[in-house]
Amino acid sequence: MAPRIGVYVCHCGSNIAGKVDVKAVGEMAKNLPNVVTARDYQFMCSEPGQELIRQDIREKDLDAVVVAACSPLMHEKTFRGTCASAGLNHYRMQMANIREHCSWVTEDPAAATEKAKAIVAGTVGKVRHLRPLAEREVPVVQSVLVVGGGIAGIQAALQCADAGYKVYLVERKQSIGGHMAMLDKTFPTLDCSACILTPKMVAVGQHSNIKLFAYSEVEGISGYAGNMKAKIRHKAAYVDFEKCNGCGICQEKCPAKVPNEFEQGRGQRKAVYTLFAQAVPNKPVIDKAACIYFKTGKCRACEKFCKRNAIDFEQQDRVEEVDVGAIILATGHEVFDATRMPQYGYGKYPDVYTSLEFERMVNASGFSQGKVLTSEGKEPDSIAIIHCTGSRDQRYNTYCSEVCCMYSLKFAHLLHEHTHARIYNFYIDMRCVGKGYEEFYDRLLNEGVRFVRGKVAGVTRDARDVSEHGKLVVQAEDTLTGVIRRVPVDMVILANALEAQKDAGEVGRLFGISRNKAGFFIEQHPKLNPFGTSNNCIFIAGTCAGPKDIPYTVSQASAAASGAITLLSRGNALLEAVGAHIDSDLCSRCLTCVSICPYQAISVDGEPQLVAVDETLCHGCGTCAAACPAGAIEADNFNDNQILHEIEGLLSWRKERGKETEAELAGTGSPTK
Amino acid sequence: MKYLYFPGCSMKGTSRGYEESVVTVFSKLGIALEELPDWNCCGSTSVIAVNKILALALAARNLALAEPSGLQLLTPCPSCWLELTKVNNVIKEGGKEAEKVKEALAAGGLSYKGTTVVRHLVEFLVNEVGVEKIKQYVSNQKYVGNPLTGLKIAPYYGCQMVRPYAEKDDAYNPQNMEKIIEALGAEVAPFELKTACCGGALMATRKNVALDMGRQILRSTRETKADIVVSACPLCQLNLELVQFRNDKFAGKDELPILSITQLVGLAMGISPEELGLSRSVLPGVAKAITNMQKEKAPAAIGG
Repeated sequence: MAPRIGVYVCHCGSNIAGKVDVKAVGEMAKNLPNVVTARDYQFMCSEPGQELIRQDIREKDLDAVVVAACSPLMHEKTFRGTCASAGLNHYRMQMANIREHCSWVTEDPAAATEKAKAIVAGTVGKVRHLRPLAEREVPVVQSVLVVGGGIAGIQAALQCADAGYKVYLVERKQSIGGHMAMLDKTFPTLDCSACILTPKMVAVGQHSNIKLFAYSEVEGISGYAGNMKAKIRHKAAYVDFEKCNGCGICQEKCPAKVPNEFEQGRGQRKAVYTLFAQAVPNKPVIDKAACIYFKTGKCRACEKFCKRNAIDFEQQDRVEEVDVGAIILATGHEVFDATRMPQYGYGKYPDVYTSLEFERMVNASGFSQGKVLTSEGKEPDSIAIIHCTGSRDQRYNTYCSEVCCMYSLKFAHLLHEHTHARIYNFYIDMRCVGKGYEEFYDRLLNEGVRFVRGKVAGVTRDARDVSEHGKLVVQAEDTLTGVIRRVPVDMVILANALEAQKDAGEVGRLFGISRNKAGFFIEQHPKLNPFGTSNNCIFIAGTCAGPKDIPYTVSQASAAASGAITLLSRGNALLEAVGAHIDSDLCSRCLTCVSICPYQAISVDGEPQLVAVDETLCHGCGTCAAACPAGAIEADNFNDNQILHEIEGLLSWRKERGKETEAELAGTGSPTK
Repeated sequence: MKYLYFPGCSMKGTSRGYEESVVTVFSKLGIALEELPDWNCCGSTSVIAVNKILALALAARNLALAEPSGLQLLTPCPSCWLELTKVNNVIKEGGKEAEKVKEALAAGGLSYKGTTVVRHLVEFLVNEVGVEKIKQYVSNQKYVGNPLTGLKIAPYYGCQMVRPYAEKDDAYNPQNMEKIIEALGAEVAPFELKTACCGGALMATRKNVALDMGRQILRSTRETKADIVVSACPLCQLNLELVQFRNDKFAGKDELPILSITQLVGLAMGISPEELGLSRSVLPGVAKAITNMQKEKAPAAIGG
């Protein structure tokens, strides 16, 4: 029996119809084999638009539907629902993307129309051969994995735990707290950062539903929707956390001193150390690279003085597996390495500081106990803050780091409090978007802080006259007055950009999450799902998804938590119906498929050996089907027959137009060959 | 390996000394240079401000002449290098300007595909000759020790060698000349203004501005106690000499020799100042001043 296909071309207001002649596309579709009806409508996704489809399915007895509209990422779910409610298996519905793939990216209307026809013809070709499939529901494991223990991870973990779910919080450092723990105050309220963060850290440490894995990293993820196994490596700390009570005697007695990364290398720490005073968990670890015993075989002072025998030089990494139903990635950011901008003199002049170095300098428990002094121990007379160091710059990061204007204002205020110095802010634009942010800027203007509108060209010690002697000279074009300014100062503070973590690529691959050009994780939808990802069980929060301030980070973390809670409380997850199947008569047991399956879904079993796909693990990606030398593997709805008919459909449109299309469409990006 | 040599106008005029040192040093290094036959102005003069296409076409003609040989085109002048590189980029990108340039070439019976590789002398010494080879030539001479021992050399890049094109070095903190100076066995005098502008052609049009720019650079090098300033740009070398030649009371008391990079390499290789064109310096007595420095700091090395 021949299939009966309905084609529905959407205008999408002017999004599609403004470029593509939708009527012509509909007319072309009517003439395609097996197409019973073809219509165009202003908004297919609207209720009347959907009703058109439902009505046709019922009245015209359609058994396949093509919706030529936007990307399936946008509305596939909608139209699957439309078909299902009219009794049509929704795997017999296929979207033809004539918006993102066509009307939005093709300049010429004639070419866009031809391209839309090709896309529709191809989709009709494929849908003719699609098979109905059934989805299965599987129960969701009732626990959440949160990766990263900064403020985003802390917030998400607490919320999931408060909702009654088991949470595994994995942090690679020995304490949670992230960047927020390093900050002195927060803008614009000037709350002490540690004061507002530590109660939450303590709550994490004490929560009965949260299992905190500090000094640990996730190194493997397997499983399927709502049923994932996370392989977690607990790095050898050489301290038995069970025995240790965090008394601190080992740190006191350890003779090895190295630069302290928490103090941005400006202060010192011991080889056995906790990150900071309020660390959670408050247990030290031994830094193997700094430890005298590990380097020379002599010392063991910490072991000698530990009353609880908690030091264990023999300790090994330990790998643990946990079952989780949802994952929240909150892996954070790192700051721009200012040595990449030699013109600002960081690393060359001791009095050029990064933003985090200044946070630690001005902090009462930081490397200078909150005293703002130059490298020579003098009170600075004048200080420059350079905005956009590594941001909004074609050579480094093109994006705005969103928080630097505000933290620069905060720095200016703290300097105003701590010193008598003249304070200069060199900015490109002031971006104070947020509750109370602009008001904070106004306050700073009234505090007498000087603002120079100009991107700094360089910082030099080259003194041109007596006033510049022994100073750092900040050079910038003042774009409000149109003059080149040379401002001599004693101290320069850079507003470093926020960047994606260096290993964000590896983390992305591990969890199967894409990244944007700048390296940040991509959300499922930038506007309407800014905390979900392309995987329904994985959510993102905080600066791993892009630069943002604390309130926005906390909001996103809460949203990600609510996404995870929703999934767990629903209790079931849908398994993708599309899968791969092996024809064992054709299979020669070469096991190519076993080795390349990204989901470890294919296994070999029994005598004679039988290669089989585990349907729950299979994502239907088709890698095995493409690789199988015997052609024994078929992926549902992506088999050779279906794909070839799609290609045939894509190419058939040219026959109608004759030869002239090729010349006409040369250079439009449309398929002419 | 043979290279085509593009002198540019300065090498035949104000910077004949620089050219003599290039020729001498390269023959000692065993690198064959063949002057590009029938070359013309690179287009980097004021013409670019008046007619960009004319400037580009002037540059492109040289590249078109070089192309059939398949040889790389080496130039000691940063300004020439910049202009030739610029037109290469224009041709690579295609578009209206490239079309017009090709049209202009065609009118003269030439065509250019865009394959000529343009090299600047400093980057060439570092990447093609290599610092290791330079070190060998310095140590294989008749002298005991090294003629530049104890001398502090300030590497002055000027504005065009790494800006806007910084593929072969860092735009803000270039290191190629430092590498060469170290290979020669001399000491680098790091100074702040190594990529500042020398005043360029303003010396002819706005003398006071140019003089002030030159003074700043000289002051900055003096602060580091440099014995010699080394440049790889004919105009930089000329301007820094002119500031001092005027007995400028702001330029500092003792005259500071301004050498081209190949003159410095030549000295380290033990070549005589005459063969390196030092007598052509604007400042009188540069050769003698350097010999005196060497006597003071490296007597063993110069056989004194």
